[in-house]
Amino acid sequence: MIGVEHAWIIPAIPLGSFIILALLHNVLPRKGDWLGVLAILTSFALVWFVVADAFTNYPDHLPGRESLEWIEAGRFRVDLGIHVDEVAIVMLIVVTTVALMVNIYSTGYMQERHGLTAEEQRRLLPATAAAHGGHGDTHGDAGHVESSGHHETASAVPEPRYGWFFAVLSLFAFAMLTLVLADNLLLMFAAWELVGVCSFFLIGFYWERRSAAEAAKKAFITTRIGDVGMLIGIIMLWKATGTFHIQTVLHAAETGQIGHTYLVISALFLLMGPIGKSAQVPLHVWLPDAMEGPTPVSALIHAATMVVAGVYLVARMLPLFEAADLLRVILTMGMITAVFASIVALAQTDLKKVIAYSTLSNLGIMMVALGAGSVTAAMFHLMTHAFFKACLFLGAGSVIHATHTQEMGPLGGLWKKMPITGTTFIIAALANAGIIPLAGFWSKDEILHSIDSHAGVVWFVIALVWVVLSGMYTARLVGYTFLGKPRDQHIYSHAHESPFAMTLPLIILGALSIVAGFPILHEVGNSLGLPGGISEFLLTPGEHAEEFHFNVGLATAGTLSALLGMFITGFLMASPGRMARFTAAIPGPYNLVKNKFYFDEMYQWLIDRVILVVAYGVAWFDRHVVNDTGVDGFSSLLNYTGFRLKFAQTGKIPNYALAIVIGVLTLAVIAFSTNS
Amino acid sequence: MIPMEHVLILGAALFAIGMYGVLARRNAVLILLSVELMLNAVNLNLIAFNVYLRPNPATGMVFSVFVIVIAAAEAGLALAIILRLFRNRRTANVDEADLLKW
Amino acid sequence: MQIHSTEQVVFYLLAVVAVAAALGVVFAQDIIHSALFLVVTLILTAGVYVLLSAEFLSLVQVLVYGGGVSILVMFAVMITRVRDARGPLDGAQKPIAIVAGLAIVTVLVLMISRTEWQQAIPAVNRPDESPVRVQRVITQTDKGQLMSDTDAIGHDLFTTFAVPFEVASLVLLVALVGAIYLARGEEDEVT
Repeated sequence: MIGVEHAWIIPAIPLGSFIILALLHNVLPRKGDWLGVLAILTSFALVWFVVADAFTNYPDHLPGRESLEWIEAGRFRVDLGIHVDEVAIVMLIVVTTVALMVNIYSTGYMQERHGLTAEEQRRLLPATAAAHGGHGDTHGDAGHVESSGHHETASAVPEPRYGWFFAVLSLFAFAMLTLVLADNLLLMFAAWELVGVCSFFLIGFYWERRSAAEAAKKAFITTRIGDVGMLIGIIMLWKATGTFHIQTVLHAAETGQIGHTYLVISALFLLMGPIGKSAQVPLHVWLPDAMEGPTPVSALIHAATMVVAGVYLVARMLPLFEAADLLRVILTMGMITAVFASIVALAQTDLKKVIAYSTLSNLGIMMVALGAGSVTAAMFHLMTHAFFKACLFLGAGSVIHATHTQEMGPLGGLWKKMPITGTTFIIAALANAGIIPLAGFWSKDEILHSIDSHAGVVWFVIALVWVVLSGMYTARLVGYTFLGKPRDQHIYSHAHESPFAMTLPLIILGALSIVAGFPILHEVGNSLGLPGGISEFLLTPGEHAEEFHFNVGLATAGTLSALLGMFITGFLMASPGRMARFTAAIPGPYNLVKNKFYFDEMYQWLIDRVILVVAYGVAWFDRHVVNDTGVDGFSSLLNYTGFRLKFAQTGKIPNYALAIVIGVLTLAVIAFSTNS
Repeated sequence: MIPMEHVLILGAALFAIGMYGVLARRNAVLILLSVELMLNAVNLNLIAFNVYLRPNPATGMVFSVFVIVIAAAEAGLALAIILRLFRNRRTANVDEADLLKW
Repeated sequence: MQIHSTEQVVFYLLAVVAVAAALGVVFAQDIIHSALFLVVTLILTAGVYVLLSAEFLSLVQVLVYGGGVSILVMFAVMITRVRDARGPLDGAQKPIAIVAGLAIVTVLVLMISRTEWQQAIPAVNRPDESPVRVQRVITQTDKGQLMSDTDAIGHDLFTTFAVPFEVASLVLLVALVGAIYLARGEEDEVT
């Protein structure tokens, strides 16, 4: 029987799969995709054993602990250990479920590479180009004409790095599960960096395309800014407490063993990690660009799992932030991100970018929930969001697969052509907007409740505005893609429903987008074998268990706000020219939003005008002072001294013999003078 | 009987003279002769200590035998080296063989 | 200085002549003279060994040193034709060498005179108590027979010092091979 303390097996399986795939993916049948799916399927199954054990005789078996010595040097000691509590279990379920769905989906989606220009295609597969060249020299011209005509003309080629993709997916699953289970900050940081590097690999998976390589670099560097701060925070906490063990650190912080100022500073540094990883303003710029990666990656890493690692970390360490009085900071930061991202999502034309900003906005609201002190609401929303956002991304991928474009401009009316994709997408979108009784409704309700009761009415009103905005961009997203009339007949006529490997995960995730919210209810939780509704056990120590009560006022306010948002967009889109006239009427705000508040331009300016200038000064200092005077100066000094001293070496043997004698005499003199 | 100190002083005198030879001479063969003088002085000391201080076992004498063995080996090798030096550089003067310097 | 016996007289004579010959070795301006002075010194030292009742070593000294090594040196002198060598036999550091030699002898004599030998020397070998002769290195064998110094050296060499003895023979072999290799010269080399 697998108990909670055996949970380390869950990440170990994908690790093994990664090693085999990375080495052997070219010799395995089907390039080993079945192995990746099998590995994550096994982990997925094992999670349920852990869940079963955890909730048998609840809460006797929690938290599950297991550790072995990792590093020991004097008084410095780090253990390699796991810590399985309720929060971790929820994360395990989310990560393995979404990872399994994405792995299955990828066996369909990743077979071919989409959206290539003729040039890229030729570069990627010279053999294919040559084969097509049989039609004559006109091939290149034809491709050129086609690509100047429509977006979709860029054709698909077989994916050359198919096996490697699954290897990295396995590595990511290993890293993410380790991050979830880690019981000490150092191991967690290692896993944290490992998911970061997987993200880097996968964003830059189409590295032949320059924008993908740039986006990968941007993501890596931007998150690294946060990670450096996080590492400083971890080291500061270690210096104060002498341990990396999370529970011990939390205990020390709660009991006031760390000075308050010191605690605040170290907590702020620690918070930088989540700001970077969970893409909070101002380090959010990498996430929209990360959409350059394959769509399944966007679903898994940049919606459901990795980006919520920051939320998870803050949830885990919430007592520390509470002790440092930083909840208000987290709340404000989250709310800024949430509202900002929702507004930007309104004006994006790229299908995936809209969803990416929607993700940002949801990450922001999770931070708001944490800032309101409610781990329950944040983790619950994390779970439901993972399901419906993965569903949205995979649906978007299905659309890209069918139409070879991810611009919303030429799409429209696809529901008829792609019934399964359309239906699941719309369900997930409604869940995202928070329409009763879909999953998103319950978690948003919980968040609104926590804001209402802990943060105050001003924040509550802002949160309602956020719900309206969510409704607006969701309606726009669905309206442009699946509803209305086709704006490009050519694309429309070629569109088709995706293969079963892709629709199956969509159906499952669509179903989860409907039902994932119900376990909040006491009766549903009980009937599932849980100790009660989610809000009754999913907490950090110190938080009070609270049975969920359906609050009609709150639910009405939330739903009405969402509907209001959807109605506004619907009204604007109902008549063909109305949206264009509306945007033309407010060019200033519209351009501001469309250009994402000029964050990228601002950073570019900052880098060009400030950082590069400072860097130039530092480089000058380094070259002339540190290098020429310091390093080279010392070496020149030594060089010169050596040049002078070398003449003491005559090479004549008698001189050396004399030196020996002088040495002996000196020793004798010393011996006499000290003895007598 | 002979006081031990006097034997030791004889050894010291021979040793110092040998050492002077090693330092002052520039001909390799002469340096070798001086080294033999020093080794001989050491032998004298070893035997004196053995005879006067610890007559049993004959450790000092056995050591002297070993010193003589090493001296013989050293003489043979040193002469071969001097021969080599002479063939290569047409000299047996150690201060002319100063390739070891900078 | 109190003279106790003829032995002492003989010792002082030998010592003075040995030191004089040693000075001859280092100051002679002809290599052949130097070598002959060395032979004289070595033979006189062998005489001192006899006075110290180390007859075996005295014999070895005469045979190995006075004979073998000296002849080796003569060969070297002949082969390298060092007598034809240009320039003086003494180097530039001669003055310093004189100072250093005097300093060393001073240090050694000081050290010898400052050491309390009386406690270390067994009573039988103190000049006052045993006016006749140095006690011979005599031990008894297992069967109660007396042993000469030759017996004692042979006994110890093959029991206590068996391993060093074998190593010494190896060293000799290596030196032999090395000397031959070095002195042989290349095939086309004309000596």
